[in-house]
Amino acid sequence: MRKYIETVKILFKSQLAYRFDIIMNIVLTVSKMLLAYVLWSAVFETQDIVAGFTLNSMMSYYIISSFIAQLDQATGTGWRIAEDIRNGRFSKYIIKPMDIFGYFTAHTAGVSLFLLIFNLLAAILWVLIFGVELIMTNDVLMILQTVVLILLGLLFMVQLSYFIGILAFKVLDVTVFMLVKDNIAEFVKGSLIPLTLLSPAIIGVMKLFPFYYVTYLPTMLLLGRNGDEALQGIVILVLWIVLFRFINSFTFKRLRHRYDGVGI
Amino acid sequence: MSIKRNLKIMYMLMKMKLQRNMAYRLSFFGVCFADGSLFLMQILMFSAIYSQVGSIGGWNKHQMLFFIGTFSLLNALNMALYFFGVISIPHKIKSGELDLYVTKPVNTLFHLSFENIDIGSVPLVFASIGIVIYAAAGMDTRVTVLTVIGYIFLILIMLVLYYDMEVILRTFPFFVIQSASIERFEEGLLSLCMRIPGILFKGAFKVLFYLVLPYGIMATIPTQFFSGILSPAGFIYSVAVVVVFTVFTIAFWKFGLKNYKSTGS
Amino acid sequence: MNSGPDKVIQTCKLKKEYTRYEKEEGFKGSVKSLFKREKIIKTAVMDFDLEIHAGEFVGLIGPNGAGKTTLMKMLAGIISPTGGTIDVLGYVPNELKNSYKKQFAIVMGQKSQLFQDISAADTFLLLREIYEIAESEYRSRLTYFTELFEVKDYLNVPVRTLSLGERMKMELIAALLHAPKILFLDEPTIGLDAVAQKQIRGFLREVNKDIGTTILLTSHYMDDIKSLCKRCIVINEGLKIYDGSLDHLFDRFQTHKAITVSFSDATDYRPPFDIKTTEENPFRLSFLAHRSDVRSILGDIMSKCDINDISIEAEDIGIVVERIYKSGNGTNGNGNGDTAGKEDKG
Repeated sequence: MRKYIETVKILFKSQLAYRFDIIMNIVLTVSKMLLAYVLWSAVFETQDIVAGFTLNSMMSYYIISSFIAQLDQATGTGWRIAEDIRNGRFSKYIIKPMDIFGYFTAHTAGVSLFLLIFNLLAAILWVLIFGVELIMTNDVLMILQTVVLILLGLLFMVQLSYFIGILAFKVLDVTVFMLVKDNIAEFVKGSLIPLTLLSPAIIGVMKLFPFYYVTYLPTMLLLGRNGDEALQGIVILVLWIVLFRFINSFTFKRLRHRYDGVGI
Repeated sequence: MSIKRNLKIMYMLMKMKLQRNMAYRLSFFGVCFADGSLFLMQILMFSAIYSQVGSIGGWNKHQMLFFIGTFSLLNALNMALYFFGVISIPHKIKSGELDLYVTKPVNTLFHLSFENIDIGSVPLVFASIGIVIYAAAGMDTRVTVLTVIGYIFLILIMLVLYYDMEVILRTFPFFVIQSASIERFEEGLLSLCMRIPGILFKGAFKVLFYLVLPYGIMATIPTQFFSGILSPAGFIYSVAVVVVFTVFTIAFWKFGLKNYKSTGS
Repeated sequence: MNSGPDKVIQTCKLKKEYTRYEKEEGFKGSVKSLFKREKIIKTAVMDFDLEIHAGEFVGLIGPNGAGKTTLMKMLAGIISPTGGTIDVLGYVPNELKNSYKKQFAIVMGQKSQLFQDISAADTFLLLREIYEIAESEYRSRLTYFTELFEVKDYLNVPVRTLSLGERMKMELIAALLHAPKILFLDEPTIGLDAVAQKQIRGFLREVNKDIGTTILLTSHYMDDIKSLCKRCIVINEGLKIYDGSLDHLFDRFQTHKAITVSFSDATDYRPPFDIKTTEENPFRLSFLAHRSDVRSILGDIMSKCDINDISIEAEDIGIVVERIYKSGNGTNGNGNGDTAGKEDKG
């Protein structure tokens, strides 16, 4: 375990050098929050309640969900894996006496932890800027369930990005997969709009997939809603994580042999 | 330099790009998948919102769909024509690769812009036109030949504006070393302005996205024009913005080129 | 300063300064630099006067960072000078007129103008359009060069698969297709093996002689310069410190001979002259001696010692060049160089 903790630490330190990641993070969060604000103030001009949300609770939704979504830094890890495979630098992980997926999980955790401070600050700032009365549950059990869900969700997102990253063994350029994944995930995770706006049938299908539980459900839980879905969420996420554990190790074993480690 | 010659060079560049692309079949239609999924999600988002409300900022769902289709069309044309050429400029400035372009007897910016034409984006152009037509069918405006011509004209000048904005931001590397944050900035602005129509902006945001960084008018104005709610002043205003930005872009680029330091070797 | 009919390049008091901003390292330095930046002006080229005539093959030598490439880039119009004037073929290069660009070509050893994933022939077709080369001329030149460079077989394979030497030949063809009057070559043989270097030199000589292309060449390899250029210009720290015939350059600066003597018996003999010892032990002595002293030194050794072997060699070129650079700041300044240059041209 120690080596993974060290990986987290090093990543944490080296993040100081990644000032552009921070800038990107800030710019994207700002643009997302502005989007939510401009859009929903227009919507709430004509009615006071939309799908059970007031403008205030809607903004609370975006502040919290944006905070949780920013914890997911797996995409960057996926890019790095693909990039290293393409440039023939992946061998540096293969030769290390540690589990490769474990390494990248720790790597991602390092980035997330580093950004945590910024994201907290950002969330507080949004509350002040928009003058939102942040509605948050004080039910300890619900908060605990939320934390578990978030951690499982983050792990799943790392698995997914890792999967796409190692596809680079086969297709070299995974850019398209990565972008499509990001675009779809943004919607199905509920970062664009609260999923409750969708029709019940669609929501029913979404509940079978992991994305519903990564950002959306934790946000709703923190807002004090959907309490009955938490346990179901934990079970489904665990099942998906186990499934992807197999998919990933199988894929890695199958594809690794294609790796010729050019220009190490 | 004659238009005919430029077109011929563009054709050559396109042909060569196609040949180069053959090596990477999978990413050939990359833009279609990546940006197609982006706009698809946006359509889903708005149809979900419109299932709850009748109008947003005075626009009904057909107008919103028309707006999304229009932005997707602008984006697809941008991708197909000059996007990949323009985004390579900062790297070419920094690595000194620009040397080879500067010394060619063709307009340097033209050469750079159209060197990476992306044929793979063309299906997205058609898909976007499909969305626009579908949305138009749902609107209760009377479509005349003049509406269509005016719309096409506006699309063309907005394409020029889009180009101007892209080039202006990528001229900065002539003056500053670190320019990655400028591109992040653009990414953030674009993802905001392609998602919500400019009519929703108020106050300082309106000034920002209508005048300073006019991303907000690109798809909004053509949509307003098509639905018959654009005032003559709005039409003239948008033409003026495009003219001003184009003149500035050309001047700024020339100034940048004078400042070229040709480092990296 | 009247430009004669065959003067193709003329510069007067040419100057290029770069401004750099220095920042302290680390995050703190970055923050500091937002408010106060250390401005550093570096002069890359200083008061440079240059005249090159049609058909000349001129070598430009100098240590790294001397200003060779900067000078060349100014002549090609890539960068603008800070001061002074440039006239190339009647044009001001940095105005970047298309009619000017059609009359020269620049080849940089480290920058490729060929697309990697397609064949060189395909890139040539694009260049034909860009330079508006007539079909018949294009065909005849392409045939001429592919035969001269012996690259017919590689014309239609992806550039990526070519060896460095083959690629450089293609780069040269790409540069020559529009029959430029002036060819700027910046380190064209860098990284090539000896055989490829020799071949490239052969072609360049041919192009200069046959077609009459004026060529300005920078190279790290003295062999390139020695075998190609009659005239050479030495530049150091932005200043021209020599401009004249290459032979004359060596005459003047190859002032010493390297002498190595092996003695039969151990000795502590040292010649009573001004020498610079490079290696010494009781049986062997290596030293540099001034050319004019060599005869007397040999006489002295012969008369005083028993010797096994003796060798007298010309000084290493590197040392010669270093001496020129050093003297550039001292007594052997610009003036002498210019005189030498004129002698050569006459």
